[in-house]
Amino acid sequence: MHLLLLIAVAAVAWRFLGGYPQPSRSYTNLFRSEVAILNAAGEVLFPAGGALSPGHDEAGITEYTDNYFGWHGLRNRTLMRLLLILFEHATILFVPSWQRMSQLAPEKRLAYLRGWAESDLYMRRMAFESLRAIMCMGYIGNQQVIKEMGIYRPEAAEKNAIIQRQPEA
Amino acid sequence: MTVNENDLYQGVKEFHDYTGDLHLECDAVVVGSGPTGAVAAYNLAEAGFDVILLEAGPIRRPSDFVLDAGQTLAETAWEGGVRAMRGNPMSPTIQGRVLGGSSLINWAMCIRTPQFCFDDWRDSWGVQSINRSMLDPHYDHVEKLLGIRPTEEHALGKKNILFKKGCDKLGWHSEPTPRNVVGCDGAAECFTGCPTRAKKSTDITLVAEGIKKGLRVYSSIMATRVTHAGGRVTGLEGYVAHPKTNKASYSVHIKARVVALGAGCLHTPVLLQKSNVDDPFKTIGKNLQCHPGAAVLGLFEEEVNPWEGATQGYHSFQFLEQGFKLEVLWAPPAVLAVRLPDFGHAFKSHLAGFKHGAIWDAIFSMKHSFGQVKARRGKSMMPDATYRTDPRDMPLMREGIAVLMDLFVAAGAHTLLPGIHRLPSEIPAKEGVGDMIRAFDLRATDIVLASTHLFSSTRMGPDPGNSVVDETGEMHHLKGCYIVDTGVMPRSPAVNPMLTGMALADLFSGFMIEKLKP
Repeated sequence: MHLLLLIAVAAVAWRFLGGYPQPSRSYTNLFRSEVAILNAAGEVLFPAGGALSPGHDEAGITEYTDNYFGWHGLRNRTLMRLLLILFEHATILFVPSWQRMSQLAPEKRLAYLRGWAESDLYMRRMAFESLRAIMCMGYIGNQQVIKEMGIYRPEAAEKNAIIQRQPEA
Repeated sequence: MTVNENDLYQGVKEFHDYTGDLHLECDAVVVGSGPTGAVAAYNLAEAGFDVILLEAGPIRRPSDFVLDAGQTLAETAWEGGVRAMRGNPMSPTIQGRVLGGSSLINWAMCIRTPQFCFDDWRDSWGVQSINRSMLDPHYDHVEKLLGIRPTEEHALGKKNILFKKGCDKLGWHSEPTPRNVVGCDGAAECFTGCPTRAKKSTDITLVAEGIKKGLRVYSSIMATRVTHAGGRVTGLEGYVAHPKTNKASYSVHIKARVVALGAGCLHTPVLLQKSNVDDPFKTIGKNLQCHPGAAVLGLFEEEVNPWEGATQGYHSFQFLEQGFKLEVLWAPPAVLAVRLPDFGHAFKSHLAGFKHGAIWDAIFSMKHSFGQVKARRGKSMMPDATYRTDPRDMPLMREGIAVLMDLFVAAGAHTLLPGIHRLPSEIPAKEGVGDMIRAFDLRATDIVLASTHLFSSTRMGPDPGNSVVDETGEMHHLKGCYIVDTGVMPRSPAVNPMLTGMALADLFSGFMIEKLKP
């Protein structure tokens, strides 16, 4: 009986905490699990190719979010962490599936996130807007994306800017 | 008013200047270097008094400006820019935490409140002495100080020109928005910091000019308590606040005969509540009101390039008396993109199509919707703000959104993205499209509403039973303490509140000066 209980606890602990891959690079503020969550969401929300060539990886959404976490204090970072945990683990309720969001197949993952965005529950929609807000900031913060969107600063403003910035390489 | 860029921040104390507890004395201390606090501080200094101006945030120099919206918000706004008023729906709201306050990151609209609002203030709240004609000299004074003028034609950009085109076709009023901007190049970067400093935020105007008149300016100082004895103000206490974390270090103690609070509609009530000031009728923080804003994105065949041209260069008063104002809207695309529909490649297509888009919005004067500001427990000086959208105000909001859609049709848009839950994400822009909204059972939670215009949390009025300050701006129950921010407005000013807040601060300055005279 105790062995069974131990196995059950281990399974639950693994489900929630274990098995996250080592990220391909180091991050200052994000935990390994958060990197996985952002990469998984980014893969389906910002796929490569199409109207704008960069995908989430090339646009550096996860790297941006790592910086974003660093710009905020403990309270906001905690709230953002809870947001990521919510999306990762609420699959139990809203798919429903024992798999975490980052473990779902891409089509299922996209459908799961769409369920948040289109939910009749206001707070679910707001949660998705919050996640997308952070990821949009990361995506549109990328110079290649900005270039492909055609965004520019007017010539007069560029000429008269008090601080002349070097364009990013 | 022109200022040498090199002299801009000379004389402003910064975080690294503080080496121990501060014990200061002055005639008057002003809290908040935003539009209203800066007016009060400047006027009092110009009148020859010894004035200290406190700002909780740090200086933000042009070399600090970044185009990234997320980083800008995190570094310039209270609570990292993720503040929201709890309620139905939650309302994101942004207030600046930098020298210059919100004037550094706002869209610079400076509009006089129409007389019908002052009539409403009189009829609803008994405010007798303040009306448009008596406030006009104060508007004149502030407009002269900041170089306020209509948006120049060369700075408009297509998004503003199309707005005008639509209004002209429908026979609606429209005009270039008066702004505190001189020499705009249409960079549309008001939010992240004007790269040419054409936007005359108060840090580079009133604060800088005030220093030349003897104003003492201390940045990174968080006010935590208005000190008082026997129903009279005696000064202020606070702490030196880290520029990024707001963490407290040295203590600050200021003795003053007059205290002027321009900390904003959310922070002024918190400061007063934490100060245990006399509030027998519990009016401080009550009756919070705002202008929720709803926006529609319209797509045109031609390239609009909405990142070019003044952020909010045109507006319309056609429906002002009805209860809403129409305006052009622009913000960093990363902020606006969140309300685009669809996912994955379809979402990216919308991003790629942004160059054909314009975003116009309506701000609403909600007669029945109110909120409240309370201080959080413990040492936190952050507000706990709630705001509830009353169902009786929804017909107004529905009409405003319908009108925006009609305007886009008149301007030649081919597709509309209303961003309303339970409606199609894209709607063909055809004649009569507004009627679709008019027939829709719109709920407040169907839209993403943001509210950056806040007022009435410390409103003025003759009756101490339902107001916080009298018509001179002085608190009913704390003599010598004045409130100069938009919290004093008893009801909606119908238009963007900054200029009227400044005019009221200019008016109240006169009373403070009289109080300070020997």
